[in-house]
Amino acid sequence: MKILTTSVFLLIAVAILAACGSPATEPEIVPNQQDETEDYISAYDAITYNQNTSDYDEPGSYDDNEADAAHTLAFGFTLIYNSVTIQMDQDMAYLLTLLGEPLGIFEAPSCAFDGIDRIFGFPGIQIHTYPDGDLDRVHTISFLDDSITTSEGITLGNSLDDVLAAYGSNYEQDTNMFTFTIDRTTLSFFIEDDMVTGIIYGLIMY
Amino acid sequence: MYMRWVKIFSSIIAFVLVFFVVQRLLVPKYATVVLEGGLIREYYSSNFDHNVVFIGDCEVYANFSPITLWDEFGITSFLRGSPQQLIWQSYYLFHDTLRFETPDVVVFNVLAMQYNEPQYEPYNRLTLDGMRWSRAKFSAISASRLYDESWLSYFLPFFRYKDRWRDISGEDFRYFFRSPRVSINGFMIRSDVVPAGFIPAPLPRANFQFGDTAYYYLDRMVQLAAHNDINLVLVKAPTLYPHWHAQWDEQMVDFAQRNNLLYINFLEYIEAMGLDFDTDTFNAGLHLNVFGAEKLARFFGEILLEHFDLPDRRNESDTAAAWNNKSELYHRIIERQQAEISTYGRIINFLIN
Repeated sequence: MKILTTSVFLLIAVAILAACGSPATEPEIVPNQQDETEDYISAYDAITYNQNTSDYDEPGSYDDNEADAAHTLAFGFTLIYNSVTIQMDQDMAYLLTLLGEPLGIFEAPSCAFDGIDRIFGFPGIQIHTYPDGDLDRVHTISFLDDSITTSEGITLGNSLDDVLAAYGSNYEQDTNMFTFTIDRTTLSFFIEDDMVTGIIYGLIMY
Repeated sequence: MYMRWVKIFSSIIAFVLVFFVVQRLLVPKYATVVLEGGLIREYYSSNFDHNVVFIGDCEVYANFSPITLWDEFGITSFLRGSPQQLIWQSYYLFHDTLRFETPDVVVFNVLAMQYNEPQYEPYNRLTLDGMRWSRAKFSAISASRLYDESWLSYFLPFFRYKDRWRDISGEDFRYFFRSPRVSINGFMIRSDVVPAGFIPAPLPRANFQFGDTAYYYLDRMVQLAAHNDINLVLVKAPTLYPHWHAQWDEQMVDFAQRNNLLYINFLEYIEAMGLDFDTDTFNAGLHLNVFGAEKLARFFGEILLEHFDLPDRRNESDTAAAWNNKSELYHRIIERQQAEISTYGRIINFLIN
């Protein structure tokens, strides 16, 4: 009995030591801790979203903690689409209240684990989200045609010179992809035969 | 003095026993969630007598029905698929398979060519934890490890799953001594239907060229097959998402031609197979359900017979008896799942036994 008790204690000691010494093995998404939510909160007053009930409350009735949880944003490149400003890391449920019904929603569950990446189709763009607890947050926006322009006026079919004139020369190039970065956001242009054939807004996930 | 040594020795034995009991309790059993984690280990309880062995990612274990290959063509097969199985893992599973048997044909699903480096530790565990210890497993771990993955956690999974003590549930005790069965010859049966609706447009990419590491292991797979007189077949399963880019397809066509391999992109035969993504998929076009998998197996069986000298083994009494039992079980599980869908609107029990 004494031996068994000693063994159990030893095992607990091993577990505690292992817990102290080993790094976390599962990658975690670190939420953006920026406090610069004031601008957003004012826009947010228009329609407030209760993340727990999916109901929309009267303006001003939301809980500050809920707002912070739902709307920590990655500031940087933004897209203005149908007069709605779309930012990376934004809560998709809130965006849908502004953008209206998408053309379609595609759900891509991981092969085995919980969590569903969703892709929302709208005329001219697709918005990709990742799961963050109960929320879906924007991580990619891609252009589908030339009916949409970036906030700086670039669209599919423009030339590389147009892109450089609008965004400058502080870019990273990977073959035909030219990527500009601000904070945790990227804006990538895909160039073929000196013509923009693809535009993607992206979120840098840690 | 003697008694002192006896006490020390007994203490060590007791510690080791308690350690392994706790470790067994902590290791996930894959009975109710992430059942895919049980797939790789199930090969070792088969009879190692398969004409065709499939290797690859989820496009393998969800999409090809080995029972249809048996029922319709007398072909015995096993699917060694697992979620996000990377190409070096497939290569070492191929190696591992050769420790037990030499199939006539090995089929590799090429979607994994898109990955050139290790991706995600939890997926690594789903493939590697299920492998039996061998040189192949050592090499597979070496090739797959991310920077923060420790070797020790593969030898002693206790160190990986020590935090699971909070999640210990009834299934950890129920399956303490035996593992739940999640597949029939590596095939996960799904009878439910979620039709494909909106399929997103593919994202542009900077570079469509498959990586050097991916090609390195594909080359090694070709060499391993040739060395063992095995016919290697490359396939791309007919699923609508993730996108299989034309530029990727061209590279595989070219590789197959250079190496004199059969490569079939089943996406080109969706109509010929009679696949209907309103009824033949359980998750909106990502994977086929059992009805789609049967159509694919029927189509692929014809191709296998056309290209390779595979025997119809339905005349071998022992083999036929074993496979007819599997077939009966397979059809019973489909009926059970359909009954659950009618009653509850979804499948309740995904296990085979």
